[in-house]
Amino acid sequence: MLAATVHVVLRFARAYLTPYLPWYVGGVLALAATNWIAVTIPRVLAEAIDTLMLGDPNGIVYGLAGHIALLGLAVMVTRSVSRIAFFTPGRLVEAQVKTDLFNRLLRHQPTFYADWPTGDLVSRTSSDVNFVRLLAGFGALQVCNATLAIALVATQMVNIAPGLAIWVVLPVALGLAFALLFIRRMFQLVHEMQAALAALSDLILSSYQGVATIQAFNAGDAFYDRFEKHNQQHLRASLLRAQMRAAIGPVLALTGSLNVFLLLYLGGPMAIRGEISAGELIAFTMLIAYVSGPLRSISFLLAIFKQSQAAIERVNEIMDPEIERPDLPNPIAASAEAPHITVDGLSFSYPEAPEDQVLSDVTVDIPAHSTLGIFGPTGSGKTTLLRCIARLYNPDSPSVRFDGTDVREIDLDGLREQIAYVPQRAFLFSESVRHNILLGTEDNGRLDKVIELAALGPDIAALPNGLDTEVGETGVMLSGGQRQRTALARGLVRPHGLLILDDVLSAVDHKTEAQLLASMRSSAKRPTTIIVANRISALAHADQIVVLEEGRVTAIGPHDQLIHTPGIYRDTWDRQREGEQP
Amino acid sequence: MSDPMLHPTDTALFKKAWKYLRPELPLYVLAMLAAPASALLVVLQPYLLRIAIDDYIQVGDVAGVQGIALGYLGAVLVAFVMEATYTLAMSYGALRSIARLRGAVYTHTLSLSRSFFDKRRTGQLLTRATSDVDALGETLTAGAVTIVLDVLLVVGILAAMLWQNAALTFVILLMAPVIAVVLETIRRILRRLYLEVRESLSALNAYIAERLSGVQVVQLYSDEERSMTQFGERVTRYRNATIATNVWDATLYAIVDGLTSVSVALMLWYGTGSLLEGALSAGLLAAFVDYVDKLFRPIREFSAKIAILQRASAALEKIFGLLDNDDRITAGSRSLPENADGFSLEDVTFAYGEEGPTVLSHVDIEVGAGQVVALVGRTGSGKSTLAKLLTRAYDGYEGSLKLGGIELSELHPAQVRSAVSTVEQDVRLFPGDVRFNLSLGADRTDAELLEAVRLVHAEGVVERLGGLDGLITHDGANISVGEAQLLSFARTMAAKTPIVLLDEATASVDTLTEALIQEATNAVFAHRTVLVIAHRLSTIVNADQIIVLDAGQVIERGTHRELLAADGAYADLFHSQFGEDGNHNSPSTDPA
Repeated sequence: MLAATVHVVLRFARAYLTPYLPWYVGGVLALAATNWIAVTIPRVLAEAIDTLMLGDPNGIVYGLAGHIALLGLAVMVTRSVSRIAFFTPGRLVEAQVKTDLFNRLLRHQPTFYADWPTGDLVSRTSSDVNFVRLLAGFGALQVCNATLAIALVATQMVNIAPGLAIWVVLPVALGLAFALLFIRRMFQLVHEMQAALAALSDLILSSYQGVATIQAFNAGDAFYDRFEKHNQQHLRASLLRAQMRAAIGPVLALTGSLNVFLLLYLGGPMAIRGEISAGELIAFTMLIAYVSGPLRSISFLLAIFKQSQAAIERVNEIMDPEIERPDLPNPIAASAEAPHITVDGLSFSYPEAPEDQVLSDVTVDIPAHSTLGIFGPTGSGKTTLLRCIARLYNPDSPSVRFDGTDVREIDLDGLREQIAYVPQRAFLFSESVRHNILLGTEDNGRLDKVIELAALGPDIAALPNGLDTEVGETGVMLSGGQRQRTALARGLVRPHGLLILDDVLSAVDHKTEAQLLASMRSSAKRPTTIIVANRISALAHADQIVVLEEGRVTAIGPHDQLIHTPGIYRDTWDRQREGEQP
Repeated sequence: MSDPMLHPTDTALFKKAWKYLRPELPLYVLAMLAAPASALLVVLQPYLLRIAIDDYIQVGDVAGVQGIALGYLGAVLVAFVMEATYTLAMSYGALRSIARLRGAVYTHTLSLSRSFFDKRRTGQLLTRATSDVDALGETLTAGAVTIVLDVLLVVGILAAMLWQNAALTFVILLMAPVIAVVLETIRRILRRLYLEVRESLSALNAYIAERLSGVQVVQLYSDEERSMTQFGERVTRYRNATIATNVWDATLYAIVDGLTSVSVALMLWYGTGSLLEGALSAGLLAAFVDYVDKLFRPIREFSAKIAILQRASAALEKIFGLLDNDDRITAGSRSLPENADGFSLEDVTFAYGEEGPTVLSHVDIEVGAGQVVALVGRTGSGKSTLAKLLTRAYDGYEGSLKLGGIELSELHPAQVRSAVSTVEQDVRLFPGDVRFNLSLGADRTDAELLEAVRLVHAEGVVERLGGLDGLITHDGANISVGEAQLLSFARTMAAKTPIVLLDEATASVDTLTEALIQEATNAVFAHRTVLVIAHRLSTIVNADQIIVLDAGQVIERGTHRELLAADGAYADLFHSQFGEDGNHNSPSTDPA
């Protein structure tokens, strides 16, 4: 069990701690000096007391007192240097691991996110990284400190009185053995607590996010029951752990006191027999007192190591998985022009549900600068087709091509820069409207134009600070439609060769939709465009429309042709026109 | 965004916390009784050492010294039992107290109004119920435990020292001003720094949570680089604050550590004269060296404890800031008559918050029992807001809003919500099985739930998920937007309230399914009062009344026929939707 811990911890240390070696070397040197001083002081004191017993005719005790005072001042320097030298790299490593994790998370793809709740990922970047920091700072310090303190104290004790030293060490060894007995169970309990806490956090987060629904359905009590179940689980594990702590802590304190008992019981008579001096006996008590801190820290250290092992493993679960669909060694540069896209016999199922085929043998040709409409019932695979084309998910075969090139061979970053994909669910960040639209791209004078295109002008004018209004978490300051139109503006503002709108136009009224579509058609540099919509009016002007049903293409053609062909497209068209003849 | 925080003193905070601690009073009393016993032993030990040296070793009494040693052993065993009792009682009390407090925070938060949630990040609210509550637990178990012991120890040791040799004690006390100045100076610096650490950490975590929730957008728009820069700024701020904290913390620790030895030197220097004169014995000196070490130890670890205490007091401040927050919907006491199924708005004006723009302005609507009323208007015109007022999501409207003839504010919100249910635009599903998501804990049979599912044509979705026992993963990632909307619709149908609000209930559902739903629900809705908000006007042509909202004002009302005949804003909207070539509209037809 311990071997596994050591392996995990060492692997991490090699990767992250090596750059800070000079810090640690400095820290160890300062620690060695500190501990050397700490074990020297009792010796000097013993000498002073023994000298006093003899009457101190030469007044050398004053010199010895000055010696001790100087050592005390020296400790101030070495102690602070050692602590700073260990804690600073701990903090630097913490920041580094956080950065690496966040960087990795930004690059992980949808398949990864399908498996991980956001709350879990956030807790890995905070509480787990905390343990990593404890290991790199406090843990490293305590290991070195305990080793040095124990070694130097033992040496000093053996120097003074070897016979007594052995007896004094005995209870310590017993106490540690006792603590080790509990460590595995303790570790299990910590795991249980963490799991219960994670479940609790997830429940709390999801109920706060869904508070509107909970209140609307008077479901507060039902949610409290679910909450209390996890709360009690967490409490049970915490209480068990508290029992262990209540046993281990006092036992370690007991071993410290047993030292003093043995010292008096065995050392007292030795002093009487003159085998050691009174000063040396006192020095022993000081040494025991000094080493009791590092000794107690050993049980704590074991806990830190076990917990950081778990934490490092949890961090590695994010760092280790390959970024899905890594770019090929020599990716082909993405073209800046509107692409000619061919989808040829595309079948697809999500990795988490391989038996559930979402797309079956989809074939469609999308010439450059043309507009493709996608139509189909709820759950027919429309969004999935978009995701495969935009390479949010990798097709298994070379069935999606941009200008004849397998999409999987194209440089992903370049490809993404060419695509303006506006997803069905608008996600806004708690930044200003302006930043939400631009998302880091340059304004280039296009901002005003896209605000007009997305019909956001009057909405923005009504906001307290216009474009610079902070929209709050997930854009709570805006209505559902305003959020979606902001997301639409975000897509339109950047230069793009391929525009993908996933049921976005349902958020704009028909007039805006018509304006937008007209403007896109008349644009000099028309991008290749793919529009998913339930509303036929949004599709009517597309060059061709694909009808998807249960993942299969059941019809393809322009609007005029489809409305004369029996099928769901015509049925829908009829239905949507019904209102006109009331 | 920080919570509006009062700044009550720490004692006031702990007084509030007392409410949650009191049920475990017997445990705390037990702990407080056990604590002095273990402190007493620590004080006794150097004294015994002194007796052993001066009275037995110096005179060569072997049996005597061993007797003292055995007496000491006895005291050690008593202290062991006492310390275990103390630790156990204290942690049991603390853990139970914080579980109770956590429950209180959770239920209280869920009872607050939507305007409260609008102003805050859920990530930060989560912190209140998790790490803030845990910080209090940490204080009670680790912090308060050692602080009580430390105070007892310092007092006990000083008393023992004064009793044994007042002069030598005063020599040690010479160090007190130095220590006080050092402690106070560094404490001030650390207080500021710890605050900075907490704030920068909370900003960092909130940033991470938000970016990860929207990671798809970040990736789609190649916003990784800017995200890394923004992250870098936040992580650097946090890192610098923590490093500064460590430096001061290390300095404090080292200074106190060094002062321990300086005190020993001082005693030695002073004691030399007295010792030689016989006023001071070697045993006493040894005992004092031991006392000094024990006296300085709690002071040395002082900074770690201020950190714990400060965290706890900050956490308590936030927790009680939340618990004291009463941003709740007014709960009246009148009861709703049986079958209250009509509602009316009279001159209703509403704005989100005091500074917010007016969203609804002098709205009058009368909806009779069993009527179907449609709200029409562009996004942001106030349609959803109106629906939210009706379900008591927000308070603070002007004018009159009545349900079954009774003003909403005179009813308990729960009563209103058991009469009015809504399919919200923002669909929310919870991790758990389909059954829970459809019933939300209400007492409904499987047959009732399946009936609701059938009504909204969601059988396919439920079947694919594995029936009522099927699981909805976090964030509803395993179903499409349209499917989620169907389940949300089914949930509302299962609630069978006399009044139903449909806010774009089928916006992401295909037209043919929508038509099927409409047919199926027509029969059910015949006996209910329904308010429909829809973009697709085809779904509302049969409504008893259509109300057109623009910028929060009612600009037209009437039946479909009447409004078409009036040839105003509605007619314009309608034609633009069903015109032969969607773009025949002209700007001049803008509703005014």
